[in-house]
Amino acid sequence: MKVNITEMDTCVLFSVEGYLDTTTASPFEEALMPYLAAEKSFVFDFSELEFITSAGLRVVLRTQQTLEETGRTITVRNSNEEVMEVFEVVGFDEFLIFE
Amino acid sequence: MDISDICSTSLSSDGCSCPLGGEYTVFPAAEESLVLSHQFLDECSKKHGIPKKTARHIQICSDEIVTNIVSYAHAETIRIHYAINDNAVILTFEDNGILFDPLQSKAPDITLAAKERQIGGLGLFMVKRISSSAEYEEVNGRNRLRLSIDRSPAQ
Repeated sequence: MKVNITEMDTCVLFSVEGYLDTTTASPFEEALMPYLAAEKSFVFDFSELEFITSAGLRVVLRTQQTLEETGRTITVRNSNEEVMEVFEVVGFDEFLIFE
Repeated sequence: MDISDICSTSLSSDGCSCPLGGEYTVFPAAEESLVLSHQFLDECSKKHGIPKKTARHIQICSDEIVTNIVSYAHAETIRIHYAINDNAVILTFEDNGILFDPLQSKAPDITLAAKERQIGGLGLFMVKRISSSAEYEEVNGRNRLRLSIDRSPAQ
């Protein structure tokens, strides 16, 4: 799993390659951590993400909860069908923004 | 670990001559379980020409189940059996840990706003939603969970 990070003017872009499961969720969360205190919303580009499991979902949820405290958002781009399906099954499509 | 409960005839190391056919793997319940199970399932899905969607569903379910066994069951070994029929891939997870029926777990409330959500409970909920059927049985003091994952193109 690889996370490529691009800090932009209004947001931080995280492009994830591989899959987010029990083995890769912690490194993903670690990559996000330095930017939690910043003032920018997050964008997750999932075009190279094969699938996400509950371990990955927990990181997304914790991140969402933290960003919400300062009025920030998570935008998800380019999810494949299986990733989108998972977000819908667990109701994360109610608070994530999808592009 | 006595694996003759699922398969009543003698087995080769990578082939299974039980009624389900297919193949199986056995490994210690430890951190490496996740990588080993992922690899095994990947190989089986490739070998049987399973479509990507189904292969991903399989990996998602396995991650949830194997993680729970490694984290909570205090098991020594895990056995994963992979079989196919016309419509589905049938995965069987067997472990010799604490007896526990994961299908009894309470579903999380997925209508809550993000800040009200509990962090846990999503994994087993997803397994139940993704698999077309799920059965738990205690077999000779061991946990056995059998999932059916639809492999039809329309899924």
